[in-house]
Amino acid sequence: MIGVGKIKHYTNLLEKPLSRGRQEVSLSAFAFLFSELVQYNQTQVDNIAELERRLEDAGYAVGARVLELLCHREKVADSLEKGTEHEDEYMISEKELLVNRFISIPKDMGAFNCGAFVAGIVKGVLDSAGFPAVVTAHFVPMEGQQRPRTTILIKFAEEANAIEACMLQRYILDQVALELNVDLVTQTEVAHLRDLEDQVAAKQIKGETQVETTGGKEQLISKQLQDPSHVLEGLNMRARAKIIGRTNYEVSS
Amino acid sequence: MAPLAPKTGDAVFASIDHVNAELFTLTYGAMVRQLLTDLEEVEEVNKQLDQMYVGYNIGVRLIDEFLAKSNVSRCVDFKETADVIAKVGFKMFLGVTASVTNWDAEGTSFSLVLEDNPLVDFVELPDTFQGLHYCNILSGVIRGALEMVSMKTEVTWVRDMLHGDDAYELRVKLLKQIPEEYPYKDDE
Repeated sequence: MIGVGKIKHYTNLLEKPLSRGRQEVSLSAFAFLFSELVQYNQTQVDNIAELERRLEDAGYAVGARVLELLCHREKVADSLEKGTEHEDEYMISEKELLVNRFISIPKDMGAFNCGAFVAGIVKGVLDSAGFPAVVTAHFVPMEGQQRPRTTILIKFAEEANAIEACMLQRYILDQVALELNVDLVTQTEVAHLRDLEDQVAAKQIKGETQVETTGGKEQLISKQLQDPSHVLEGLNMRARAKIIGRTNYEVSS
Repeated sequence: MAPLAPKTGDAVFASIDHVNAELFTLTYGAMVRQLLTDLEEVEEVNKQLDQMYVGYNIGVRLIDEFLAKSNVSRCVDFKETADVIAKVGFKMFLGVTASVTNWDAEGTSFSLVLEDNPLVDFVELPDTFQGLHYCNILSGVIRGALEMVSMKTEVTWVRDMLHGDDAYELRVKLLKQIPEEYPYKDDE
């Protein structure tokens, strides 16, 4: 019954237009779902560390598929800071993390933190971008507040260039309007993205674009990638990461 | 306190906090993936989503929130129940409205038709999992919620978009009404 009635059927999932009309569900629906996820995993494991690991794995799968990760309500994380001890550590902290709002931790589970799910999401996004990192969630007690802040600690593996990674992450956190699609990338898309990289690099060498500010890079990238048929996940993130890496090299030389 | 007028689904939905639907969809996807990895059998996963834990547990707690936020008065008959679920319930939690169709002769069984379903955005079932009812959580939720208001029901899937149909259709059948029982007796 293709074409009959008001719903059009697409032969391929990738051709379906993304529904922009409805973008929200109720917070409680998500809270219920998340609590079931945690409860189900509780039955499958024996200790807290394993439970956190499972939640992190679930989050990883989510992160590998989503770009606007913490941008519900168009809100950015409270702050992006640099950890004091090591060069390659960054922290994102949030006063009342969404997943922790409706979950209470029984005494015998002490250090367990459902932020492990969010940490998994962040890890998934970073890994897809080509910046492998170890991401963990911690409770940080704050004076004068009953509930502790939750902090996501990101420690980059040595091969990643931390400054660019930080800017890219900021970009991710700020972006809302990127189109989404599923995992598949076709050969033609790969080729197009490579062309894109070269174009950007060429512009940098000619001195046509400023590379000092993060804003400049964002605009250039988003202008090129506004065509909604492009897949903006997985390989695309790597392309963008390469763009940033290459431009930085040009500036410093 | 005078009873408040029942709110429409839209009004309730507008008044509560929201999250990004994609986050919700992807979290559900992660959960189904975990279940599939652990249980491996498609039938087992279907059962888990509906009966054992997930859907039913959610339904049991969801009904409280639903009744608190929407202020609907007691439903006179099953037909009204059906309308309330479709118009207010679905709208309030998932942001979509369902329609009620195909009442049977005795008025004990109806179909809920969903054209738009946030759970299945970006989802395609691979061939090995064709028997999976991806949205089985919905049948568990409805069943759990109705059981908490004294109605024992059976919920089955008639049409499923992931299997190639044009909409999602759930068949809800009322098995019996359970009179309310109090946990303690007066004479003890």
